[in-house]
Amino acid sequence: MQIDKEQCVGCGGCVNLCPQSAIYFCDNRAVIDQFSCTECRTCVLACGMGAPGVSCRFPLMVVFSEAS
Amino acid sequence: MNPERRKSRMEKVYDVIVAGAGPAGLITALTAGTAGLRVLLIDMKRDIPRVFRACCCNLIIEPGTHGETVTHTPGSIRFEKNRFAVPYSGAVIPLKKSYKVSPLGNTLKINGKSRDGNVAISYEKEVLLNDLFQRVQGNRMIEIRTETQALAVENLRSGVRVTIRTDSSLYHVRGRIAVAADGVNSKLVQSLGLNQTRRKFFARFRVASYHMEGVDCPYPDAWITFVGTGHTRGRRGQLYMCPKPHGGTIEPRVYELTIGIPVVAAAPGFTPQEELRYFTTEGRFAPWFRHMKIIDTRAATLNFYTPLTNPVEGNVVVVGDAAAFIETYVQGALMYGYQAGNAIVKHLATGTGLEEYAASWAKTFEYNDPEEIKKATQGFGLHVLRDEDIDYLFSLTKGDEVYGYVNEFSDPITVRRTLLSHLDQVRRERPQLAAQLEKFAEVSVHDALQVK
Ligand SMILES: Cc1cc2nc3c(=O)[nH]c(=O)nc-3n(C[C@H](O)[C@H](O)[C@H](O)COP(=O)(O)OP(=O)(O)OC[C@H]3O[C@@H](n4cnc5c(N)ncnc54)[C@H](O)[C@@H]3O)c2cc1C
Ligand code: SF4
Ligand code: SF4
Repeated sequence: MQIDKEQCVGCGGCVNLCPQSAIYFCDNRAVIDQFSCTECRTCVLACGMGAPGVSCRFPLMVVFSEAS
Repeated sequence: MNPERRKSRMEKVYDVIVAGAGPAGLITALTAGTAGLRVLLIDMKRDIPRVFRACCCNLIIEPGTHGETVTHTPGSIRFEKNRFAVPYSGAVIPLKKSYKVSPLGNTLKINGKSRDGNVAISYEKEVLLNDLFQRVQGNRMIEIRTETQALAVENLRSGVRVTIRTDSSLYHVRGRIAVAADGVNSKLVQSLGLNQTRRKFFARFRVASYHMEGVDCPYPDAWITFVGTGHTRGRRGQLYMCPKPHGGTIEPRVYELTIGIPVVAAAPGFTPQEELRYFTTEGRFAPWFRHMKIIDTRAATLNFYTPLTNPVEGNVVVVGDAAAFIETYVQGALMYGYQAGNAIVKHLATGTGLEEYAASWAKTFEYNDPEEIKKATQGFGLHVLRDEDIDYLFSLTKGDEVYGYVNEFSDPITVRRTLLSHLDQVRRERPQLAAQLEKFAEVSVHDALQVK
């Protein structure tokens, strides 16, 4: 899962509800750690703004593995 | 982080570790720091005084709310019984009326019951947090770490250990006392297992709000509640609107419109954001918003658990919303934070003190009484009636002189009493509705919250 930075208002509502503790805060906005997320969709159902979505998880993983 | 630095961080033992720097955490940290304790205050936000979470931020002025009477005087907010004040340099808008608006636009009007004729006072949370944060920053005993998240707390044989994460590290800090001030979905309360052992889950709500300029609102000094299911596309949720000071001033007029909707897995419906858009562009009151400009959008997600009647677990003290059902109010977060701070100071000096805080919370936080949960949630519950019945009932109240406050405990009672005063007429004209009204006290919490 990824959070759309434009949609997220930084309310923090999803952070403590993620069962994997995969969500953290950066620049007052929520960010999902792609290695911890299990795509359980809890944050999707929790967010009042519709900010979390599945769009671009895969490309990020590829970039990560190239870099390491 | 280099290993040496990590080691030195691990070895420092704080007197108090406060997780969460909302109103509850800020005042707890400030109270402990002022008494000379070594305090670590952490928050996941980068800018602690900025407000991104929805909060209508009305001062609830009804005497005796959570056992306290709170007033605004220029420059501060005062707590009479607890004998303290917090600085508030911002502007206020006294709210003179509370209007309940039915889907057709009929209103039930409640006049302010305070000496100055107010139902509540609208103030600005960001200014309050900023004023408090400046004091916290000016206190040398308080170390602040931003963009720092608390993941768990454990009680050790003596003291506590808090697990902390930043975007690049995961580490522990040790302290004598930990304070869980991390809000309504508290991670620290979860980590202690208290949601399972001491609480009952009711529902999850998600919220969104707009701050807007250029609203053509016919009620410029009122707290407005839009009652009934016809205001939303998904036919669920509560909508509120009131004027807010913004950036320290009250001109141009800014209104905040808020919607809270229960999360019902079987009927996902619309997001709060979608409902706000609908209400302001297509709903019956869309003409009010024809020229509006959105200047801020906020949101919130809340798990409603019954309160932690006992908010202390070993050396962990839970304050503010983290221990509450729905909310303590900002003023409650400040009051209980102040009490907790003082209790911690006493406890670390003498070995007792936390019990006093726990006892005060158990006695004064109104939701600790299960009957209050029922009564308050019925305030959400007028929509168990049909929209056209609400229109009809409100039309009957046109000539009534009703007095009251914005307050989730007394407001449902005021409304019910007003409607019941027309019971004879309702019996004659709509006997079925009269029967429903008489049984209103039996509406279950789940029906009132629309979570079934
Ligand atoms: C829609 C709505 C309307 C409201 N209207 C009013 C009103 O009119 N009047 C009123 O008085 N009150 C109102 N409230 C209630 C009020 O907002 C709360 O009661 C109050 O903010 C509680 O303060 P707190 O310090 O306990 O928690 P919060 O204000 O939630 O602060 C918690 C802090 O902890 C931080 N945090 C959370 N998790 C972590 C973590 N894991 N690690 C580190 N930091 C973390 C957050 O960033 C935040 O800064 C309203 C609330 C809502 C949702
Ligand atoms: S709940 Fe939504 S708006 Fe709030 S922090 Fe999470 S992603 Fe952002
Ligand atoms: S999908 Fe589940 S695991 Fe992934 S971030 Fe959202 S809540 Fe956490």
